[in-house]
Amino acid sequence: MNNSSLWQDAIRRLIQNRAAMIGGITILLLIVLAIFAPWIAPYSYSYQNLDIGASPPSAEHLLGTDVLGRDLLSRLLYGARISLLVGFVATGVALVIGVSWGIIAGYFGGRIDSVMMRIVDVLYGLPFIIFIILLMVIFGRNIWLLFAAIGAVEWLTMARIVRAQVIGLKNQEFVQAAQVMGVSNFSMFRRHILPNILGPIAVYATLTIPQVMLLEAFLSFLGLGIQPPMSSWGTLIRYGVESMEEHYWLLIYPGLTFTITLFALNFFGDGLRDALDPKTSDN
Amino acid sequence: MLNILIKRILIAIPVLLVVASLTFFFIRLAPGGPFDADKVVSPQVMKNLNAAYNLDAPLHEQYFDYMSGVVVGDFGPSFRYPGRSVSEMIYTGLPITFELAFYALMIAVALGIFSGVLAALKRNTFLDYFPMAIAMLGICVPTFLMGPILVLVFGINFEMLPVSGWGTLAGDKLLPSITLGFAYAAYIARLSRGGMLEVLGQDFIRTARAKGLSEFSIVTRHAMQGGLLPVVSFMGPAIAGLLGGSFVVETIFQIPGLGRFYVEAAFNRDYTMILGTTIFFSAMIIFFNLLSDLAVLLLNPRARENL
Repeated sequence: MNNSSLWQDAIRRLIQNRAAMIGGITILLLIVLAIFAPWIAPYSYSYQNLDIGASPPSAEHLLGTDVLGRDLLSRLLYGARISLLVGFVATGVALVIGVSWGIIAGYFGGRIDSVMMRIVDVLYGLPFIIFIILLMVIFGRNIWLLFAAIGAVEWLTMARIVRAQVIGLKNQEFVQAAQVMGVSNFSMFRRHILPNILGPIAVYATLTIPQVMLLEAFLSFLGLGIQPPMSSWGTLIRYGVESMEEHYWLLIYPGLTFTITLFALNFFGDGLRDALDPKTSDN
Repeated sequence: MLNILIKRILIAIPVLLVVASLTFFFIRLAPGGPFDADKVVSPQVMKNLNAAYNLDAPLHEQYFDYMSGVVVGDFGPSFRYPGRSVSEMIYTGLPITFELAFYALMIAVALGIFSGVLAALKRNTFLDYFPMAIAMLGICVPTFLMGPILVLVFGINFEMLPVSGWGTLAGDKLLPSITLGFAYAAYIARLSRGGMLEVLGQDFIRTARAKGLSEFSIVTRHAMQGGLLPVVSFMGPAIAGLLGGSFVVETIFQIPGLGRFYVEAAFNRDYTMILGTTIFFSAMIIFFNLLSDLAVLLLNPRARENL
């Protein structure tokens, strides 16, 4: 039951998993590129060169330019900032709501639990994609609203996972001992419950990021997400589709970037799950 | 069993009511009136317009008028297309969206279960790795990328299939259905592989083998019943997802279905259309979720204990 050895084991298993490591390194690389985009990108994301218009990949523009002569590589790098930001921030929102909801429901149990989980059940059955579209229509296409709306949708599964874990922990002796010693609820959550459920939370959070990014790209593709001149990868794919017949590169490169990122995140998440819970790796 | 059914329906009704009411009042929060985008009109015309659309009544009256209409399937007039009612647009678009979703679901179920079961039976061989790699591709390549790529390859490059419309040219239903169904085929393949692996390791399968049953009847008569339960419970969310996917697919392939109407309404700020379709979609999704939950209960007696 030594905590650090569990994590050491997990890290060792993770490092041995080649797909997960490649995924993890890819994500790290993307994050670094996104953070330093203003210094790395050869051009500004809004710099237009109407003289060249849409030109195929060349030495000056490695991935070509769009109809307005904007450098695609630069736009992809700046787009990474928005797409990854949505992925992490919205997952963070989902994490905060889901974990608190699950801990409270699981720890207090009884009537509180059944009311809280019934709410989750009901919300599960609702067409959230439509509500997000509704919110975007009503309150305008605001990027922070988009983060909050997506996060507010994705917390449900997290709440279920955390609740199940907490119920399992609640009856263990060290938690009961802490209760007897009069530990307050808050420090119980912080010192005893949370550290013991970090594993499943980390796994699910990693697997939520690609879902969130998909949702954002979906909305941006429909024209209801990120608005120009800012561009997320979803927006770039949208423009790519509009002109794919003449300018294939405008679809291929953003599409490839997006797909590779999702692959990386999924492989890393799967690897993390297998590393933390060796039992599941058989399946 | 009947108890559970009644209980679930009794929960679904208030949920639907809350959804409809929230949507109704949310829409009122939207900045500007429905006619703002049009050219400036005189106050008298504005007044007549508001009267025609029942916008001059007190809010609670509008609410009750609207709700009593919804109960009998009347979602009011469209704000954007004069002379057309929202119900009319729903009824013209719905059959097309349903047809599209149905084909997509058939493709997803057939392809997904076949490759998932095969992968579980031929575990750790090429027949396991290959379909599962494709499935990973299906999960990571979103519909809005898959569609255009298929159009580019089969429609434009090879000129094999038409790339837009629905039911006007031979074969124009194929690409949209594949586009929409592919991702779900991937999910179903993964779910059925996992479910089958779990069941195949159990004692009753060993007993069936010991009895000398053929591998075919072990798989189809014994293992699939339990192994495919995850797929059955996935059906509800899958149908909800197919509806969301229809927004994208109908936009890409220019199919005049409900999904495209919805996206257009969102663009045009056709508030009554958004309101009507939101309520309608919610009702359908709640209904399909109910259906798939009940199917799981019917097939799996153990799930009943958790209620």
